[in-house]
Amino acid sequence: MADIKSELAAKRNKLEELKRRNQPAGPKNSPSRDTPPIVDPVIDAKKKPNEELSQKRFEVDSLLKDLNLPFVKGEADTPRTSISPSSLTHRHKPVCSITVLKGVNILPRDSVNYAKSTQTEFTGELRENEDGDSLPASPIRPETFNLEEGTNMDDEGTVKEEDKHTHASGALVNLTEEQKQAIVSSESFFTFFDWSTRVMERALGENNNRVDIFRDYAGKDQLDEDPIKDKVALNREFFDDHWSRNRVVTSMDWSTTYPELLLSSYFTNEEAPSEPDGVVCLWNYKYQRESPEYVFHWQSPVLTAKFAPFHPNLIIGGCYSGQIVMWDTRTHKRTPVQKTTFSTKAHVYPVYCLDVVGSKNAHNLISISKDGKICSWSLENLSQPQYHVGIDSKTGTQKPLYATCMSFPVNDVNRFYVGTDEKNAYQIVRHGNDQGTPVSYEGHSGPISGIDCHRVSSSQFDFSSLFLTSSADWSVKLWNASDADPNAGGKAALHTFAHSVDYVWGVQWSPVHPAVFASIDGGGNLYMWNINQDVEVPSTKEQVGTALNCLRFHPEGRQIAVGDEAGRIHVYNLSESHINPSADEWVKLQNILEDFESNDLAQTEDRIH
Amino acid sequence: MSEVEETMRRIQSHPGVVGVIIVNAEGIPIRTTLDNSATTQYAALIQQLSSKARSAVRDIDPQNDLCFLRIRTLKHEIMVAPDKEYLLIVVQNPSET
Repeated sequence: MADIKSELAAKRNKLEELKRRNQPAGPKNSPSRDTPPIVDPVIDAKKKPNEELSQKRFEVDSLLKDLNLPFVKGEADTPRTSISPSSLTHRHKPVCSITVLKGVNILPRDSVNYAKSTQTEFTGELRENEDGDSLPASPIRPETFNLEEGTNMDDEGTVKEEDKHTHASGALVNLTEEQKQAIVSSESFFTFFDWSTRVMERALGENNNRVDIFRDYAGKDQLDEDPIKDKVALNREFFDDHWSRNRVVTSMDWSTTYPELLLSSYFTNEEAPSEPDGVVCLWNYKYQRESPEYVFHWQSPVLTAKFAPFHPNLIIGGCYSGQIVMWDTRTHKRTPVQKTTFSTKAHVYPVYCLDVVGSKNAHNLISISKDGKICSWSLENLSQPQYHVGIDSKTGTQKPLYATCMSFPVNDVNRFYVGTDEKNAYQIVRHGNDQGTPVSYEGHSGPISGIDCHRVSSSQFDFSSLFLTSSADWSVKLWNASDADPNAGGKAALHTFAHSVDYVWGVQWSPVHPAVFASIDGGGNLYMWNINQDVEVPSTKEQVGTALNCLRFHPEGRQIAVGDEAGRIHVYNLSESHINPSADEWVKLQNILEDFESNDLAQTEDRIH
Repeated sequence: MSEVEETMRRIQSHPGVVGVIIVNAEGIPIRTTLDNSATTQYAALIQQLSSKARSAVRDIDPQNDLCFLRIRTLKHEIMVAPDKEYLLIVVQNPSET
């Protein structure tokens, strides 16, 4: 034991000697260091305590390092107030700051325990599995958002640490207006916003749609049924306060790919000169959404718009300026992705007629402008028409055909019918010898506003040569194209439906019933005709509202959309008698047509005699 | 910009809609029609709920993802359209619709 003691004493002396040798180096080096000179007297004053303390300090320091307490460094950086342990050890100087250090170090450890206890009280069982040191943001307490600032903790050391956390994330909470603006105008935000609002509006519309998944049918009364026969019932109204107010609905088209989508084009809004002149809206019939799915616009009024049948994303529009423009629903732009140029080969007059004909692999866009020029386009390239031809009237003069409407018969890409401002309708053949001499159909006494070919033929009876025209002379006329003899001059109409007391602005055959068609007039009436029931009066008359400008049957024939002059589109449900033809409807129609022809013959015979 | 505001206003004008909030992935509100305290609360809580729901969906099937979240409560219905970076939250009062 004595040996060991003496050994220890010897070693201690050695150590002291070594330290005494090292001491003079301290004051010499200090001026060269960064520490301010004021520190030195303090250090000198604290040199006196026992040297063993410095050893203990090393131990404490190493302990501290093991514990990885973060604020030791932080406090070391602050000069004067407390002498940092690291700087002291560096210089091998005796220190009196040990007590201070201890106090600093111990407090956090205690408070960690405190924090743990208070937190468990706050949040309950969820906390129990977690170790006390880490305090991750709980899914229940939004503590990182300063919601409970000041109420939760205000006494202990860790509280400060917690506060630092909250302040760190608190800086995120308060995004500046500029930052928000930057986010809002970013592309990724737009993509998100475009889609999520679309979904949200559909979801909201779903709620308005009387569909209540929480409805309890037990004890509820039965809903009253059986609507009046032949009656049309208003189903939907499409109207947008911003985009369609005060704009005449110039055309409509149902999508063939997505049967719930309705396309509508609008004329200029006179009251809003700063808005684009031409607007095209895409409405969704399936969802009870009030606003359009898509809005497109262009600087010239859009007179007619169509879905490109073999490209579900493309929309084609004919403009007042003579341009043909194409929009794409896949882009976020509201302006066209393609447009034709003004040239002598293309249109320079308003384009009222537009249609895509052909098959999936070989189809063309056919357009006619008001000056009678026909152009054929490839949808891939609208820069130049594939061919163009000016139509002249059959008299051979250079007087142009003021085409207002056109219709292709089913499965015919060569022959089509055009209605004009100058009272006659014409059959035009795109390819062939008689290109320049169209067959004329004379009978109306006013400009023709609408024309439509018969759509529903059966295997036995082919009615594809039938077409209807509507005119400003208050009448709708039925024609049989095959009867027309080009040499015998204009062919008279088979029958005239004269029930309206206003301009008739449009007519269309039903896509499912062979004898049903609809017409609209300037008095705001929608007429449903069934030739097999009555050829004198319509089967249904519905007062819609203001003057109607266009109509379009749904491809499945169950609804009809009518557009008025104020920018409102009304969708009506049709009655069963207009939707489901019985098997003998075709025979009946054939008989009636024969009656018409014989009447016609009788009339002409009367005239002759 | 104006389109965002316009759409927000349109959604807000739906019958029964109490408020519309757009939140980023951290739960920080970017656009809102509610007052400040309600916005902060909805933003933080719904963001956490939505990420939890998303992780649940993806735990069940890693190829799956959360598209829409509707929370029907006694007083309200909260509808959430989550995306990678943002959330659209609509609070509505179903009894008013």
